[in-house]
Amino acid sequence: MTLLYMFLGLAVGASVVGLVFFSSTKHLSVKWYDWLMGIIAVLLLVFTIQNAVTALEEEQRTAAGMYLVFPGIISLILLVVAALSIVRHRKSTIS
Amino acid sequence: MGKHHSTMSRRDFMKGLGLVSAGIGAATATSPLFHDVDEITSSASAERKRPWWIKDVDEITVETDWKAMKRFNSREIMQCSLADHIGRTKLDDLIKLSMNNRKQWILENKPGYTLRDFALYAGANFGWFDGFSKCFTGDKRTSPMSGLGGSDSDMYYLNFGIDGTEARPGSPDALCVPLPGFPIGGLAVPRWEGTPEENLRTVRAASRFYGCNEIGVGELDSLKGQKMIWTQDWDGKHIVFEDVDHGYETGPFWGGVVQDKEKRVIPTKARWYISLSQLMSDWNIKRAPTLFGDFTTAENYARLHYAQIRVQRFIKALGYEALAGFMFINTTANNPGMATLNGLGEHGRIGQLVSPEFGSLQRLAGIITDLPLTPTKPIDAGIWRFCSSCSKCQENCPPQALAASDPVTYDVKGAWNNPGKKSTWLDGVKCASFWYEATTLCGVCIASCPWSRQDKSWVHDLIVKPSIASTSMFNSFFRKMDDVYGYARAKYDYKTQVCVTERDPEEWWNLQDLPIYGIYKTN
Repeated sequence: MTLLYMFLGLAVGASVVGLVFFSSTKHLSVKWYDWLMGIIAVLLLVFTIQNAVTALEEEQRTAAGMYLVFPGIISLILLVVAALSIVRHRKSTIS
Repeated sequence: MGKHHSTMSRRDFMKGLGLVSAGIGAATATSPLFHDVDEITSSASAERKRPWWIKDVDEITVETDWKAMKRFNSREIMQCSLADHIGRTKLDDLIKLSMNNRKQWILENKPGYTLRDFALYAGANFGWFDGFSKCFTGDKRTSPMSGLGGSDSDMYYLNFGIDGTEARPGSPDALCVPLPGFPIGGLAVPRWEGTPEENLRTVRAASRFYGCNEIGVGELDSLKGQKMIWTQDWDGKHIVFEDVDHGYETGPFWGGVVQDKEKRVIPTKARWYISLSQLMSDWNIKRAPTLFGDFTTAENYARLHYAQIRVQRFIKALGYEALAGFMFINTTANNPGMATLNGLGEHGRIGQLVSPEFGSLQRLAGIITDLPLTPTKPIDAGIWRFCSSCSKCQENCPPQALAASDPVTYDVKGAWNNPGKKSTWLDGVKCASFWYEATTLCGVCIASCPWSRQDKSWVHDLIVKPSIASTSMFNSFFRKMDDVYGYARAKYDYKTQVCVTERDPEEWWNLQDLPIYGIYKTN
């Protein structure tokens, strides 16, 4: 579990740093609500992974699968919406 | 640490208990190492750490009429009185049925009841039905130099007792016979002195070291605590309080014929009851009512019995009384009731203790002592309120000894119930009769309870349990989600008369990463 939390921390940290770097170099316009959606999505994703992995550790396979469906899918939808929103801002800025 | 210090060498003291000796198994290998009692008392495990949402309260959460409640005779509980209710002939038939089923199912290789499963149960039984001292006043062997000195030591026996002419003082037959100079192994030093708070931390830390998950302490007051002590023990001996210096018992220690006049005596100065709890394996019990449930029960009782005897020895070596249940650790007192009073959990519809941390996925023991201890209060974590919206244990009970239609009432179902609390009640005849039919002690109620899990998932610790403790508004929703997410799926199919578990019993033998004791997943 320690490795899992370390991996999750690294992944979240790298994603945030990457996004900030990418948005500044590519001149992306990231609105506050994009950040909010992104943060919620990442938190939900971390929550999903923790619950699914520990459910498997407790031999609760159905529960592990259900965690991937909810909140897992919700987190992915939010991530996609946030990403599409950022892309849309960029397109509107270019045009 | 306060001003109360023992004048004896603590290192020698701990050596005498064998705590510093290595090689006492995997449990010890994963436990913290202490060098003296001061370290134990000041260790982190001595503090009672529980989640913020568990509230200490003055009264237990199930409504109880303490004036109406009386001390109960354990000879009335179903383990001791089934023949009184169904008759000797019917019980003999059930015993025959049980034996036939066991043999038949082994021959059929029935999943969960194969010879391999039975063998695992037989092994786990050592320490529960078989082995260990079965003495109310505890194992008496101890010596100041651990194994190296004293007339009860192994080295003494090896040097002087091998010609067969001298009985070994420490032999199983002699376990209950007090040795001269006990307690403290004949060292003749003053007993340990500490404040009640220090003593609680000390006993909690030692209990954790010996393998208990949590302890609670209550006073044996006449209004509540004493009512959890049986009037008559499982073997027929009366349990009485007397104004004497030391606890004692008359008649045979265990297994002999008990006369009605025989008794176990608790000194009135022994005013504290320590409840000990130990986690069970959810990996195994979820395969109940097969032998997987039974060897979980057996292994857990054996390990807890071992821990209880060691805590008894610890307290006796400190210089105090330590009296305890001597057989299956459930004798002497009603441990679930006592643990509810002592704040380890709440009384649940299941009729057992349900703790916020592990639900009913635990077994209980207890020790009566005159070591002054700070009592721990009952708790309210919303469990009893949640039980009203759940009833999973009742819906899944194979013989319907617990039924979802059972009302919450003061009216008991039979003489095996101790009246006084407003609760649902177990039909002991149906429950115990089913044990014989199933050839096991069932355990589906424990496996079905939504609280019966180790709960490593954040969703339970961060959302579900704090919500249940704060409001009952979402209880029905949480109960439904427990079904949807596939938790606690030990359901009994009344058409096929088999228990449908999500987990295939025989798959257990092929699990790649089986936790130690079925609990601790560490390499």
